[in-house]
Amino acid sequence: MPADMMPIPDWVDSESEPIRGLDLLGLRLPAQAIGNILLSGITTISPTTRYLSIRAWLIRTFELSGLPATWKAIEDFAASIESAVVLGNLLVNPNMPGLVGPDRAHPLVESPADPLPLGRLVVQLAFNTYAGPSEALGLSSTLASGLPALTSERGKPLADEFEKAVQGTRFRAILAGGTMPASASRDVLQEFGERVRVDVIPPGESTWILNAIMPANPGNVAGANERNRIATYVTLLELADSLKREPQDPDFFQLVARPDPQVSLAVQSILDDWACYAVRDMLAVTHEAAMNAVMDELAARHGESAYVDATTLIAEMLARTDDINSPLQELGLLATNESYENLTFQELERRVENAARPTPGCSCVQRWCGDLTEPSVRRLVAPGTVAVFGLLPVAWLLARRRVDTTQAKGIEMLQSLSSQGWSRIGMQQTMLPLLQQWHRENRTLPAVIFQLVRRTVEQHLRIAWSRLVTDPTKDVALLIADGEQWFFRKKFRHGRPASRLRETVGWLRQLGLVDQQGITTSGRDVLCRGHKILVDKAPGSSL
Amino acid sequence: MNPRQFCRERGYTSAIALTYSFDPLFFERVVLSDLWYGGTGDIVVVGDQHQISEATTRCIGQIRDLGKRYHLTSANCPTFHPKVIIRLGQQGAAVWLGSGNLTHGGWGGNEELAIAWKIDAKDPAAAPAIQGLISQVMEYSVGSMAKETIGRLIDHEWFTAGGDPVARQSPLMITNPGRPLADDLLDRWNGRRFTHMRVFTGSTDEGGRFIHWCHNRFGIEHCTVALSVCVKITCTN
Repeated sequence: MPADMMPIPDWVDSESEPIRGLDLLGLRLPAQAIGNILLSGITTISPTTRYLSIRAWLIRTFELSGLPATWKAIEDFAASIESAVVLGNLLVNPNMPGLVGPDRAHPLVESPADPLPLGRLVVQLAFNTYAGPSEALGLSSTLASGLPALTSERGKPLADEFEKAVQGTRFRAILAGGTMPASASRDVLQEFGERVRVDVIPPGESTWILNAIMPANPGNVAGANERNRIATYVTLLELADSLKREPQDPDFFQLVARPDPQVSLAVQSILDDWACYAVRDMLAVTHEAAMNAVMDELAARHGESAYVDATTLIAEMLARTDDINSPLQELGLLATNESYENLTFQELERRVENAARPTPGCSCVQRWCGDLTEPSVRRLVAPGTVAVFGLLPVAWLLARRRVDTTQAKGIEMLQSLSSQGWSRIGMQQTMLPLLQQWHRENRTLPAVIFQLVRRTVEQHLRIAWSRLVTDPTKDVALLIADGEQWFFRKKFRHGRPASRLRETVGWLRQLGLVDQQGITTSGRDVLCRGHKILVDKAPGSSL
Repeated sequence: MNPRQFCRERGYTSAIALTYSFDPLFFERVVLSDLWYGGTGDIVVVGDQHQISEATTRCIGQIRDLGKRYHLTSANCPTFHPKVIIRLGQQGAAVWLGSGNLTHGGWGGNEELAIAWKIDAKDPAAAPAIQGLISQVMEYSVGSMAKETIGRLIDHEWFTAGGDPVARQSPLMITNPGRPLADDLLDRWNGRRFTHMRVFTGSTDEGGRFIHWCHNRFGIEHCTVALSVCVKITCTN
């Protein structure tokens, strides 16, 4: 272009829109990947066990309805059936928990209208949200057409059991006529609701659901080893038995972290694997909390100037010694008259090793008595304070301490702790070399923490920019980085990977295997069955 | 002006990027990915020596592609401030000239200005325009390896053939290490008079002495200054 035809400059615009996003440091993914291997067939959005039966019956009824075999037809069918289930349940009990779509159904139930319209109550149908668990439990599969199909071994028997429950109802008779009604009277829906209560699972259905969760011959379903799932359920039942109450997430992870002679041999291997999860869980929580603290600080300074010097910002945050000392003192790694500022990394390393002295005879996962464990570190993480900065090096040192890489299985576990390598702060690629370097160079603890805080922000930016490459229109970055300068963009609240143990205990409760007093009689039978399945196969690495 | 679109346009096999500040993590994730998408494999980045040193120290252990997929070199002057990307291919060149660095902020996070244009290999002025530019870049590049790499990047027939050396000056000027911009402007516009001037800047000199100078030397009567809304304007006169 000739010089005299040069264009006028214009604003630079990469045309990306700042948006919200999930897992903004990308550190939850490694934990979740491990969790998915160890506990398949349940998600955080599938808390109600009976929806598995409802979905199986819905697929079966659709197949027999003569409706066109298209995705739209089955979705419309599912939307109507699901609304009948929700309305029926609410007519039986207005406070029925675990329903999908009660917000839109409540006003209908409370209105004087009769009949009530049947139609979509939610954007995401239970038919879709329970598809993953249903497939992972071997109840259904997806055909090449995209439509679901029941498996003859597990799905069809479950659908048949549900059919027994609804047989004889007027709503079932209407469906049998081959038409999907646009509405149904309150009487019809209430009668249907009595039979499809989501808080009551008839024994026949319960048996088939349990057969799916704990199959006598576990195999690989939807890419997951069912033996792992059985072992996790067995562990929770053992815990319920020993605690004499429903187990909770902290109970489970204390069992994972500390030596316990009561633990059966059958679940030892799965506990080792969950230890990997606990490590990645702790790393995700501590780094997210550190990011939270940095973003709060940037937000507080946002009005003062546009850009903030990164080094100055971190240095000033590190000067809040009392806050940073506090969790270290609680963990017993710092005396009350000491400050972290005067410690070397080697000294912290020595103190962590003393506090976490492995009990002899441990497996490839090292366990120790005392309070220096992953759950303890997580518990001390408070939102938006610099206190978490002191926990960052402790988390890294604990992570290294947990796995004995001199054993073959320890090396395998190291692989799972290093998933996606340097882009996810992999143990092998990032953590071990840096820990060695800090030891070798005898760094001061403040210098190490400084680097870890900076690394936290860079980890977020790395993830944000990776996503920007995949989709140039979406920018999840919480801040703008220009060399040494940071510019605040959005607030951030730290979180935690979802272990799904809470939902699993919920399923155990709904299936009548645990209650407030711990394991039930049925639960004990299932526990025995689980033990038998597990001892039939030699334990090995699951990850 | 979308820098990502500029980098993703196909048909250019090599690139030279000049920058003041450099963020290797951002560059490797975003800019490099876009350049690869655009078919550019030979890439040289020339940056400010202090900034390059600071960035590589800060990101040590996290830089994956340096030396393997791009060459990074420091300019041999105290402060190196141009922000230019030249992409070269058989069909000609594309030039991006802006105020933004090779950083997240410079790539659209800040309020930055830029222009971009293409130079057709068939244009007899194409080679001299780019040659002028490259020779100025060469003056700043440290070391024989950097010079050799840049030499390899410009190995295109239309470029090496030379074109018509008197056809036209490069539309782009880069200041020389030992020579002020004012002298270059006087040379380029020697004897010419203008009435209007538009200035795009992130900051201005106090008292508007640059505008005074343009008025005295070139007869500028009307000057429009485009500033970021964040800039505080202080008028002493």
